[in-house]
Amino acid sequence: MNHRESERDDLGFGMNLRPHAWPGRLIAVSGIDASGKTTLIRYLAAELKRRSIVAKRFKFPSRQLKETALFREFDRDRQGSLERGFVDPFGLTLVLLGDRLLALRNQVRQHLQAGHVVIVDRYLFTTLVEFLLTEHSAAERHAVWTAAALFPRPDCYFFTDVPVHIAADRLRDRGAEEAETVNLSEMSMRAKLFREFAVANGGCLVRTDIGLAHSVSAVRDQLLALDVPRS
Amino acid sequence: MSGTDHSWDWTPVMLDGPSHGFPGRLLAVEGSDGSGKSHFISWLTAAVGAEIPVTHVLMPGEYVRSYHLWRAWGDLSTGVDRSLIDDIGLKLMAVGDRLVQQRAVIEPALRQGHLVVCERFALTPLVFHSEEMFSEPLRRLYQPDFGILFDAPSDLLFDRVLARAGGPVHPQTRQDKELEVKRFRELAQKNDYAVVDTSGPGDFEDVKTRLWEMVRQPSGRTS
Repeated sequence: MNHRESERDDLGFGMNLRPHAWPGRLIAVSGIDASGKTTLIRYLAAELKRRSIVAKRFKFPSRQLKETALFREFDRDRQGSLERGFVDPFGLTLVLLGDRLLALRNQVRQHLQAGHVVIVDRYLFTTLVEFLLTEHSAAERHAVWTAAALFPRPDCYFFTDVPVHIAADRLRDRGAEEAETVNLSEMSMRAKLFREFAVANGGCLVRTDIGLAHSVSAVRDQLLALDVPRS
Repeated sequence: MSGTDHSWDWTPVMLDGPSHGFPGRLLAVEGSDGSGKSHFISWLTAAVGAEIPVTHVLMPGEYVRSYHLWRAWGDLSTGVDRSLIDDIGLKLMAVGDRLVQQRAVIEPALRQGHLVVCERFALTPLVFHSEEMFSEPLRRLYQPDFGILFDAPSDLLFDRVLARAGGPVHPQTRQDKELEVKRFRELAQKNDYAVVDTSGPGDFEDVKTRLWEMVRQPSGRTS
């Protein structure tokens, strides 16, 4: 069943995530491939370091999951593996959410409890965006949304954003495997969904194609608003 | 397993998944640890292997079972602090993995006409959690052509697991096991699984007739 189109209007992009109660600060970064997440994270880490604040960085999904045969096959050719029916997208979504919840409890939480700043690459919305791009029923979406609501709300949520043709060029420049299967219309859909999530969840959209300097003031304001305790 | 939801609102979920419609057969083998599932599967494979190719699928899949926090959750000897393991996250992985395995392993085998023996299928995760977040994905699993629950008094099952040498150190208590066994029975009844009592020596007489019927039926579902 494909409820994708009919449900667009009441998908509920606002996730109502609950704030965490730990003294640390959680910074999350999302965006399409080659949208500049790593560059932004490096900038954030450097900016925090300049203020004598050490940030702990994590990348989701966990390394352990990424090393599995299932994930490698999927990641090598996402669209192809879905189209060939090798991967059940709903099942994979639940696995990816479960892995993130496990990493949050097992690795991230202790740093937040200790008052550290934690930066997480691909926190939650990547999984939701990929899920929304596949066929799914209302009941499946409900199950995914229920699981997503268990994630603590980041204190600051950055969404890196670039026109998709620039992201595609960057992928080609990188000589990345995925560059061979770049599909601009799919990338546009992903970018659009990320923007919807950003708007509905108080995220900060960061353009990374017009020189980071352009966005730096917005990013700095966000960091200042975090009121990070110095380590 | 410790981590069982002891809440009163647990209900035995009725699974109304789709029929698989492939030429193969799907046999679901359920039961608490120590109930004799592996013993039965070895016996069955030897008994029917010459007539029909058998694919044995163990849930969850290998990559979940080798995931360090999954192993740590079921084995106290790993020394991982269990409060640092997110139970919901583990269960989501186990449930999502079942759908992934169904698509990647079970479907191709059924398509080729195999007898797919699925060790732990939909009932096991439902013993621990009946909420919709878990039951909804499990409802997408195919109806097995035949489902069997291996059963015995919970104290006996507990002692059998305890007697296993060199195995994981289970965090489960006798009380957990009692609840688990009770819920398995309720789920089996609700979903029309045959129940095989393994407390005494047996040669699976109770289910042999239905097993042979299922294996020898020309094609498609048995019912």
